[in-house]
Amino acid sequence: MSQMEEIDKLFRDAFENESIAPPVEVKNEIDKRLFGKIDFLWLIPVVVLMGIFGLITTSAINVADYKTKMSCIELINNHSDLSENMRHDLDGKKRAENKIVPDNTYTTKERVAKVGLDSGNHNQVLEVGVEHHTYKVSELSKKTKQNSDQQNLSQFEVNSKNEMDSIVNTYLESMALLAVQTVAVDRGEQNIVGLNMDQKSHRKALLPFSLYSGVGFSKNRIQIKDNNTIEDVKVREGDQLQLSAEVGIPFSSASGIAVGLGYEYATLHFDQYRVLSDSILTGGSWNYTMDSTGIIVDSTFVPVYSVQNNEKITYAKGTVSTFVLPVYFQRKFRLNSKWNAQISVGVRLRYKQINWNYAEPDFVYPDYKKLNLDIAFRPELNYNFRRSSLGVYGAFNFSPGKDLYRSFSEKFYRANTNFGLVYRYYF
Amino acid sequence: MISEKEIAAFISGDKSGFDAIYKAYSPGMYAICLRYLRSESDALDALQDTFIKVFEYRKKYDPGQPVGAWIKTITIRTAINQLRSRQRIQLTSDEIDFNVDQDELKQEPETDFKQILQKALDQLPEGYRIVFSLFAIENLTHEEISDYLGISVGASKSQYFKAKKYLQKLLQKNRIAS
Repeated sequence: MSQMEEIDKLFRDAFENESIAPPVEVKNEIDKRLFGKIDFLWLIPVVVLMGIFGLITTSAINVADYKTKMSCIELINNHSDLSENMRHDLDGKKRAENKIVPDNTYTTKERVAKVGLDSGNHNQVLEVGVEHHTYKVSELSKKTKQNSDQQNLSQFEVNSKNEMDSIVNTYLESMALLAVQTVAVDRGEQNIVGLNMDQKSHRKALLPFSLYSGVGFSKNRIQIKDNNTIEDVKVREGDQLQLSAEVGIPFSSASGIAVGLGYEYATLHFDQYRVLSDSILTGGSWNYTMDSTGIIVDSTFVPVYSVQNNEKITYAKGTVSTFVLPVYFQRKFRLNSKWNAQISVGVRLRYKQINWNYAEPDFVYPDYKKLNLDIAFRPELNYNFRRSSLGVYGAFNFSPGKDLYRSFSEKFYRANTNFGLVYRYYF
Repeated sequence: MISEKEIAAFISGDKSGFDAIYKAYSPGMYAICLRYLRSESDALDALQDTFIKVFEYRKKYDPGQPVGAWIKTITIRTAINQLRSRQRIQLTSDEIDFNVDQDELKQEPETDFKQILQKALDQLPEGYRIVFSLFAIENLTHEEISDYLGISVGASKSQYFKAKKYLQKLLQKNRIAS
């Protein structure tokens, strides 16, 4: 055996079957990643159970406890050219005051129907929006006569704002005063839920269907430190487009849960910033040694070095497609008859797919977790019109678990913000 | 040794099968990671990544081949990739002039033969050390090394022979190699 071959054998014999037991923490971490999956998935059934409980609770409400009778319908028109004030008491008496010119045709401008409610302990007035309508007064007279033959609406026990709106519509239409469309927005009356009409329970809740569309960005960050180098890896998801559709399940007129399905698309940049220790002479000073007579006998130059050098490397670029399953608890705050604010807090289950477009030759592809969970917070401001609303929203999503794995010791979190428009329709 | 039953359980995704694989092979793989990365935390990272890949790629494992060799391949690739991403392997230029007198094994009186070899390895320049270890210890061919490191076959051979010359001088100085 030659000397050279002997060297190979020396090292192979010494190291080929070398084994060192790794710390037990490594196995625990591997098990957590392979078999533990997402720690927060348990939140989903909790939220769903809360929603089901809320639905059951809402369904179980005895609507009879919230009986409210319509006592009157008052139609008001404040148009400057015409004076119209019409009031129908529904307790059998009917009174109408019209100061409009017969046979004239006119179009209402701003019109609301005020519905008086008598719930026993207190009276309420609820406004119902009325759409613009053109009619002839001669038709009004005819329809009004027909209406007198119809049943007295006061016999109905009205417990649902939605149903009451419907009755008001029917009533007003029957009088041919208007083709009314109610604005199905929440009025904030906590006691108006469900329906009890003709002793039959027809629960009818407002189900909001929402479409969200917006833009946003996400930032991820990994930082690794050792004695000489600080590696700061930033993973940025930019140019993010977001689409989402959600269906609300109301607990009450002001709160509920929403579930939906969303899609997000973003560009991905994997940048690494390195702060390297370096020694570049930037200056210095001289130290002098003098003898007892003050004469310089020796001198020493003390150099000053700069020790940091920044380096940025773009390792890879790609795109991220994410499917999102959000579950939110929502609380609505009525600001006035047209505006409301809503806050949604919940969780988002994300399924992520990454396509790499470019990577440096020595780029080590990170191990992304395809399924992850966000904690989500989303405030919005909405303008109500008819049965719809249009608003703006901002959202902040934070992923408490690791979104990608690259290293045993690295810390990694994902934060995402986005904002956009929301359109909502109430069924 | 791993039984066929345990391998079958591992391939089917059973945790007990994976546990058996980890128990049998993690010490050897950890030693490999330490050999190339030389940092305990980096080696632990690589070991973790290795066994996650082993589990995720289990369907690609050919049961006709030794499972240890398959895991070893994944381990070496993972460690080398990590080394490349973190430090960027620098091949040592051929013009380097070794001065063994200066590079004599800096050691206390050492009785452990394996530690002497380890210290000799540690004194090699990065490129030499990795190529020599892959060829001499892991028994890879120069073609495989060139693929792993992204270098030419010629460069691999050059690094290997330079490394061996260096080690020879170093060990002769310490009267280990004849």
